[in-house]
This record gives sequence, structure tokens and C-alpha cells, in this order.
Amino acid sequence: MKRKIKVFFNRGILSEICFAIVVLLIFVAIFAPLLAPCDPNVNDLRNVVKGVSSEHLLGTDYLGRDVMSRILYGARISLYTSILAGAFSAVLGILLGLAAGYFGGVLNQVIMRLTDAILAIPALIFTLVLASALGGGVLSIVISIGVSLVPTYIRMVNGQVLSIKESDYVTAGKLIGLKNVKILLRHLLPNCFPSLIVLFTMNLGQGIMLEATMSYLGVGIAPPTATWGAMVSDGYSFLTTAPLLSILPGVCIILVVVAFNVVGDGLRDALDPRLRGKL
Amino acid sequence: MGKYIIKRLAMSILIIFLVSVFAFSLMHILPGDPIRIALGESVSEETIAEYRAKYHLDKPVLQQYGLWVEGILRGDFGKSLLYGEDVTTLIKTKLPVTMAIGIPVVLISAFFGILFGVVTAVKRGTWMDQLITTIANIGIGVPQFWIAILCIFLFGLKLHVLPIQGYTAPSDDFGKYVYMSLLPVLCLSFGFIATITRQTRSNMLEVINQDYVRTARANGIPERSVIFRHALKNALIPVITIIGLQVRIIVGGSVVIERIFNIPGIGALLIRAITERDYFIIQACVLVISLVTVGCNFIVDLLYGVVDPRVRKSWR
Repeated sequence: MKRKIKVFFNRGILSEICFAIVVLLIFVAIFAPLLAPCDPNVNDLRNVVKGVSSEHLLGTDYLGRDVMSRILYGARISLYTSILAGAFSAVLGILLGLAAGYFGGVLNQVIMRLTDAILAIPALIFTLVLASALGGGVLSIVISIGVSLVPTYIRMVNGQVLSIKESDYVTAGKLIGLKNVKILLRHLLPNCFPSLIVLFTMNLGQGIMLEATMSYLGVGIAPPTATWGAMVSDGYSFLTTAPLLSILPGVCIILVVVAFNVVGDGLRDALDPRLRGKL
Repeated sequence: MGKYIIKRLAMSILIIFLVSVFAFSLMHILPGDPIRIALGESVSEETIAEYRAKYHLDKPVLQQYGLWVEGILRGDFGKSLLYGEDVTTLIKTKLPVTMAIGIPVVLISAFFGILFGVVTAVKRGTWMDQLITTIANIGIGVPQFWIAILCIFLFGLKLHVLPIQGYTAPSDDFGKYVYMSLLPVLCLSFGFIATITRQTRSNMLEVINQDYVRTARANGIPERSVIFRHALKNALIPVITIIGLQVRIIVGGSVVIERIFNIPGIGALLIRAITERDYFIIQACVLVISLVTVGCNFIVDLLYGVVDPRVRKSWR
């Protein structure tokens, strides 16, 4: 364990900064109500698109709402939707991947072809279309982002199960009469954990990006909820007068997505270096 | 080889069939009447019934699917729910626009991505490597809409050198097409150049240390030839897969870019249809887009055989 932590932190300053960003994001998301100077949804029409001031550290938007508070609350939405979508896709993907790999045959064909079909539709288009069919709102965004990420888990778990299901200890388990469910969950699944943790971390970044893009396009979480994507979109009309309105939330998205990717890389090197180039 | 191609083709058709089932069932996922959702609550029952009959929505679901597929095979995607436009004509006019932006993106990203990948691998550890690798690492995390807004701010609103929206077809005026598409193409390429750079760099680093590269050097083959003729050729094989997969993401990205730069492509059409809940257009767009991506993956699979004799051998 100590060695793994050492490998994780020995990847240079970038790794450390990115780890700090992830920790900061989690902290901000949890304590947004305490950290935010104002209510993110309160309009103040006498103070619209105002620059930096002591009252509003990052200025106000086109409805006079405090930009700083909206960015802090936006972190909450980003993390919340991506964790829920990640958990949803992980559970579904792990179950389907285990079943496809272990039972093989027709079941494997059916699951893998469905996976191919989801992958044939660009992830962004898939989530947009599915979220709109499900009627919008946080839950439908979570489900649609989750389903679009499921193939990554299915493919990975399926591959790993295929490579280890012929191992002696699995055969031994079968011979002593262990139930399939027990072999799957107690003996095969733990082998996938290192890759699953890495994939989950990287998918958090992907989930945040999808949610932001959906919000930007106006198909995401409905206003007035503060989301980074919608903030970039709202600020667009004021690009000449107040460019920071659009640029700042964008910088937050980049920092967080890059941070999750780099932390994912670090976890991969620490947990299972053989995955290099695969994840 | 023929057998492999037929098998791959059958698989592609199966995937398209599954996508068509998904696209078709979109309208039926939600409880409620798609016609009522599209036309609003104020429309009379008679109008709704009339629309239902017109779009075959009064028939059993399986028959509806059959009629829809039959229409597509005849080249008829049906009519828009809201405006009565012919969906096939819409797709025919919008798809070339998306391709006119997408194809240069693939070419530019492949060229620069491979170039930067080779440079960073060959000059490993130098400032150039560190600079390009850092930009590439950030590049994969930059949202397309944000880079587009930044470019509009910089090149359009501050420097006034490039137009911030609009589109001209290459067949109408090629010079103007290049001028109008420069910004959208660059914005869409940014992330892909980053991805391809990273992939090429790591493959090159792996290949460059292999024995045959050392042997080539020992035989006195010029360094340029060692890098491009011997090392890159092998490093490119996984890169081709990445480029194939990128096509899917580029088509997805076109939704964002077309919206921002006001380009009348299939992505913009899809967003309009989604916001207006015009299901027949959504179904058609999803199907056509996946046809493009599945087609590209099919070609990439065949290209594999062309560049790698080992793959060609396994086809037999």
C-alpha cells in the first residue's frame, strides 16, 4: 500500500496539483452553502453584469447573480451528477460485463452487440437524445450519461473475466460446488477492482464534460440551477463587455476534467502498471 | 479475406439494426403521446387523431417499426412532425455541410497529431516535448464549446480577422468556404490533435527502443528514414484505431460547433429537433449519424489489413 501511494505521488508536480484540485472540488461541493457569499439564484436587477467588487468577488451575471457563488454551487452539480452517473454505469456495466464474460455464448453475443450499438452513436448525441426522451431533469441526465458510459465497463470487465475464468482457482471453485454468483462476486470481481477504480475516476471527468456540454446546449439541468456549462452559455452574449463570465466557468471545467484524467493515470500506474496504454 | 469482409459487414448491419430499434423506441419510452407533446396541449382531439393516422401512430408498435424501416429502405425518412418538411431532403442538405467541416477536421488532426507525436517522442525530455505534452494533456480536457468561445473572443471580437458565424458551401465559393470554416475546423480539431499526439507519442516511444530500430540505425540508415519508414509505420497501427474512434466523437462534437458557429449541418438540425421534440427528425439523425460511424469503423478495420500484413494473414 505504502509503495502504491509513493508511486502515485512520485509522478511529478502535475500529479500533485491535480490531486489537490480533486480534493478541493470535493470540499467545495460539500461545503458550497457555507463557502458561497450569496444565494446563487437570487437576482439583483440593479447590479447586472458588474465587474469585480468587494461585495461580488468575481462580479455578477446578466441577472445580477453572484458569479462566485454560482461557480461554487456549479461544482456541486458537476460532481453530484458525475458521481451518480458513474455509480449507475459502474453497477450496470459490472453486472453485464461479468455475465457476458462468465456465461459466454448467446448471452455474451447479445450483451456485446448491444454495447457495440451504443458505441455506434456518439456519446454526446446518445446522452442528448436519451435525456430528452426521458423528459429532462437531473435524474434523466444521470441515467443518460450513465448509460452512455456503461459500454466502457462492460468491455473492460468482460475482457478481464475472459482472461481469468479458465484459471485453476475458478475451476476449483466450480468443482467444490460454489454457486456461480459466489464465483463471480467473490473470486472474479475482486480481480477487476484496480482497473475499475481507474476507469471510474477517468469516467468522472468524462461525465462532468458531458453534463457541462448538455447544460451549455440547453438540454441539461434546467435553469436557474447553477451549472458551469449553462454559465458559459449565459455569458456568451457579454463576451465583449465581460468575457470572464464565459471564460471562468470554462476554466473550472478544464481544471476538473484534466485533474480527474491525471489522477486516473496516477492510480493506474500505482494500482496496475500493466494497464498503461489500455486505459 | 472475402469471408472476413462479409462477416464484418454482417456485424455492421446488425449494429445498425439495433441502433434503429433504439432510435425507434425513443418515441415510445415516455408515457404520453408524442404528437401531443410536439403540438402542445391546446390542440383539439380531432387534429391529434388526424396526425396519429397520418404518421401511422394509430397502428400496433411492430407494424409502425416495419413501416418506418420500409420507408427508410425506399429512401423515405418520413415527414417532420412540426413543419411537415421531408426529412430525407433535410438530411440530404444538412449531411454534406457536416461532412465539409468534419472531413478537414479528421485530416488536420491526423496530420498534426502524428507530427507532434513523432516530434515529442524523438525529442523526449526536451522543452519542446514538455510543452507539447502539457498542451496535449490539457487539450483532452477542454470542452469544445469553451475553446470555440475563446477563439471567437480572440480572433473574431478582438483581432477581427475571422468570421464568428455562418457557412459557405465549398461548391459555391471555395475560398470563402475555407475562410468561413477555418475557425470551426480549428476548434473541433484541437482536442483530437491532443488525443492523437498522446497516442502516437506513447506508441513511438515503445517502438523506438525495439531491436529492429537499433539494427536499422546500426546499418547506417539515415535517422529520418529510421523514424518515418521503420518506426512510425509500426507505431501508426494503434493510431489508426484511435482516428477511427475519433470520427464518432467528431460527429458528436459537430452538434456543439454547428450550434456556436451557426452552421446549418446535421448537428444543428438534431439540436433543433431535440428542443422541439420532433421525433421523426431525431430518429433519422441518430440513424444517419450511426451509419456514418459504423461505416467509418468498417473502413478502419479494412485499413488495418492494408497497413499490417499480420492482420491480413489472420483474415485468411
